[in-house]
Amino acid sequence: MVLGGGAGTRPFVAAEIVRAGMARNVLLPRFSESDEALDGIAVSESEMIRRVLLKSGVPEEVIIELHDFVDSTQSEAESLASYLHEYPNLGVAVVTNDYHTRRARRLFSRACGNDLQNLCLVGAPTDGFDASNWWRSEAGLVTYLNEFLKLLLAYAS
Amino acid sequence: MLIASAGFLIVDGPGSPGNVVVVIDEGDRRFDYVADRYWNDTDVVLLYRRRATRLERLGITPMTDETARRELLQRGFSDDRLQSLPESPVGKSKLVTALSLWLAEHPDRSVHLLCDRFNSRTWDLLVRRAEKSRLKERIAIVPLANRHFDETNWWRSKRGTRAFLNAYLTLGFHFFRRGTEPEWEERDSVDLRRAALGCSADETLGNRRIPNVKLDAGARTIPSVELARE
Repeated sequence: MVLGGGAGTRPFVAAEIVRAGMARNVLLPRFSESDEALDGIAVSESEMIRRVLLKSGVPEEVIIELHDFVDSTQSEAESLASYLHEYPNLGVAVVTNDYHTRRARRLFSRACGNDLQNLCLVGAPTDGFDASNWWRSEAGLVTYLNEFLKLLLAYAS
Repeated sequence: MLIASAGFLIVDGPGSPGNVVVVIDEGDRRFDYVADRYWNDTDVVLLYRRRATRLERLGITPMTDETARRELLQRGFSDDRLQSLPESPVGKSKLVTALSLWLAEHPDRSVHLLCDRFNSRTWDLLVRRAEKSRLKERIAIVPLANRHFDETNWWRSKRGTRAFLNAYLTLGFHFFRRGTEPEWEERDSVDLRRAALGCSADETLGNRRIPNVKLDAGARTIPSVELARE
């Protein structure tokens, strides 16, 4: 399953997992569209991820679009939980960016409950910054501080 | 206090028309704004062109200036009015540098830089800090409104709150940081493949088996994987 918010690397990593024979399908959430996508200016996130997967050699029939519209990690977790309820005993690798894996695990563990044993998290690297230098760039600082704040909220709620 | 704190992020727009407008990759409905306000007064629209990302190189998304050009042509601008800035790296301070170089080559020009409303204070800071060429007199910041929130109601929505917080983080970053940001480095295909297969950074890829590759703490292990030769 590819989480939204990191089309620059997440779907590429997901494609590598499929190409290595470690996954049969790719679960693709239905992301709420951005203003620019709704205005017809930009490509929607779902479409971007789909194009990356296809371009990376993932067959179209392998891609499964989930039912629910999502706009947050929480809603992505709930969407997967619904899918697992329908198709139990699946093994799922949740692909997100490295800095996001702790919060994603927290939210997915709460949403998926007993199905957590079948889940694992894959941390895709991030272009431009990582844990060793995030404070040096605007994008890194904003991303990491946002993530710390959201992590606190995830543990507090 | 909530309104005032957001108000601080916003600078006043220009008092007079500019003969060049600069369109970058932020600002809600910027293309409509350009078509409404600059149709008559501007003979050049400068389009921001940054270094291509992976998605752009693969043709999955168009380049930023290509999108801007398409949208402005659709709104009736002629192609000869649209110019791309010379390719510039990622980052606000580097964009200001690229603009200053362009203005040095066009001493009779002054520009209006369209930006996101809550980012306008940051852009103003960077322009004021730009060296030598007294750019502040020749670059006016134009803060564009967002359709969902503004300084009077940002706290009522998740996106408004996020925009407010991110704007202060951005402003703080540039206020305390002197000089330009480090070069933007993109991950290569080896990094992405290592992440997919759970390899550590110091393992080389080659035609060998890696037993019990563990994807993440608390996750199940997967059976040994034969990696393809690079």
